[in-house]
Amino acid sequence: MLPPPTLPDRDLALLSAYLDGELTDRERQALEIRLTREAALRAALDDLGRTVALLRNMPRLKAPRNFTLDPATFTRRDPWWRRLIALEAVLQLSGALGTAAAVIILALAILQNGGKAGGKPASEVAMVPLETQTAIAILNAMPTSLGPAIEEKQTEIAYAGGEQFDSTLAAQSDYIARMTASPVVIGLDTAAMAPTLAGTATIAAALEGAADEVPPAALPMEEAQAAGAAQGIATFSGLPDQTGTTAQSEAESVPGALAPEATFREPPTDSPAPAAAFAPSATLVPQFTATRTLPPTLAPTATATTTLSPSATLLPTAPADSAERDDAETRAGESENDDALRLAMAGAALLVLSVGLFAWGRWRARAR
Amino acid sequence: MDELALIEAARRGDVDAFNRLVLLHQDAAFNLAYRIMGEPDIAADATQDAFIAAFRKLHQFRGERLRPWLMRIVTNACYDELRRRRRHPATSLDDLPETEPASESPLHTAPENPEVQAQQRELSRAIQDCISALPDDQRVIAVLSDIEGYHYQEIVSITGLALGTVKSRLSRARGRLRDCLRAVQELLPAEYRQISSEQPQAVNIHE
Repeated sequence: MLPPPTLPDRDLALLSAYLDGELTDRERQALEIRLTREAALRAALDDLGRTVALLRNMPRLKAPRNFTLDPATFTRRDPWWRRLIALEAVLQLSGALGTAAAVIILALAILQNGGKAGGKPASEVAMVPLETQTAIAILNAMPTSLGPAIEEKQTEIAYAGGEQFDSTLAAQSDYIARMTASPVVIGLDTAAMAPTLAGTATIAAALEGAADEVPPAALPMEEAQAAGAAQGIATFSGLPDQTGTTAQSEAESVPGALAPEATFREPPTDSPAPAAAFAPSATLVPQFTATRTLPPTLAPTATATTTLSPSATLLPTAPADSAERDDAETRAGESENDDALRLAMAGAALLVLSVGLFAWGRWRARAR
Repeated sequence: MDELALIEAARRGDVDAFNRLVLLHQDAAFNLAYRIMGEPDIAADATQDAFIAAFRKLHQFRGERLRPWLMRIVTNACYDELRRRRRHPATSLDDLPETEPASESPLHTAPENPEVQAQQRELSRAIQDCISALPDDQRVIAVLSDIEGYHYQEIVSITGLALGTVKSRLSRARGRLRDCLRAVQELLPAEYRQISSEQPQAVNIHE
């Protein structure tokens, strides 16, 4: 037997594809024409066909054993430590921590903003009317011990019996200041004030030698009181240097302006005490005599509470330092607002990032 | 439980669900591995490696049919084993004692005649020898196409080769097998003995 002619590789490829139906229509038609004309090609096609048939008829084998996996060896879940450092766990943990941190940051931002919005911490200055502050400032400027006492908004005018009175100006001034309380002495709406206090304020001012600083004309006092006050001032003008006798004589000339509410108690033995009595709120009797002890009977117990009326006219404009303080507080408030906003934005960004990381970690865990 | 449900459970780590899939596909996987490797023990090792790899790569499975995806893993496991054997020729296939497969009995043939069974086993062994004699690249394509019955596009998907490469390797493998089978034609059944050097008895329509 002669060996068959060697089939060209190109024809072998055509025949192989033809057997599998992988030729295009054009290629198939061309090959079929050749097959009718070329016996060798037909023989080669037959050989190839039988070879493929033998292969396709090879027996199907059964698996010699089961290739199943041992569950104990091939548990899907990694060891706890590997799961812990797995990217999925790291992502979820960082996402959870970031979310918690973001919540805290946002809460801080809200609190910081809310604390500011709720109002500044109350300060003594803020709660005191502007006029009071101004009055206090003015009185503080006075070279007298009157200042410290006048700073108080509320003065308890009371004394127990047996209080010693010093004849010094300072003591007397302080005494009066305590009686009159605070900035009231500057002169305010007399309608809201006990006339006595106004008169007392005038006296105090005179004693301090600061009468010039307080234009009598500016004091909103009633005419009677003004006249009396003027007289009182005149009478007491020399008081600082006076001892009790002077006070006594001066007390006599105290006009009714200070009465009927003002009472200048004189030593009962010396002269009839004026009928004037202090307003119920005034409890101290100014003694401008030598040091003496007030009769216990004179010891008042009333407490004077003075308040300032917002309608005070004498007061100058708001002091510069107060305005500056307001501006500073406003700037501080704005700065705090900016900080709160920045904090809130940082918290929101961290929250979005953390939630994204957590979701990514969960997705990876599910994909595994 | 349908296959997709088993796959989903296995993907979540259910080894029992994966083992049910193994039982469904292990015959096809072993056949492929055996026809490529030519030796049952080596084929069994490659098949086991393939199923282990499949379990670990299940998260990469993206919804296509499981069988081709699994055959891809078996093919790669066989390639790995072939490369290992090429690096260590002492353990090449030629040196291994030939062993009969555990069960060479064809699934579709009733074993009523022992002589027929013996003949069939010998024929199969001869064909397998011819298959094993092919170059590795041609052998894989020939087994996938002519033993496992995959179409060209499926072979492209399994091997990752270009369509033209698949066609040329298959045609060359068939040519070699044709030549190899001529040598064992005395073993061939009568209807296959025409694969010889003789001119075919085909009818010449022009005569």
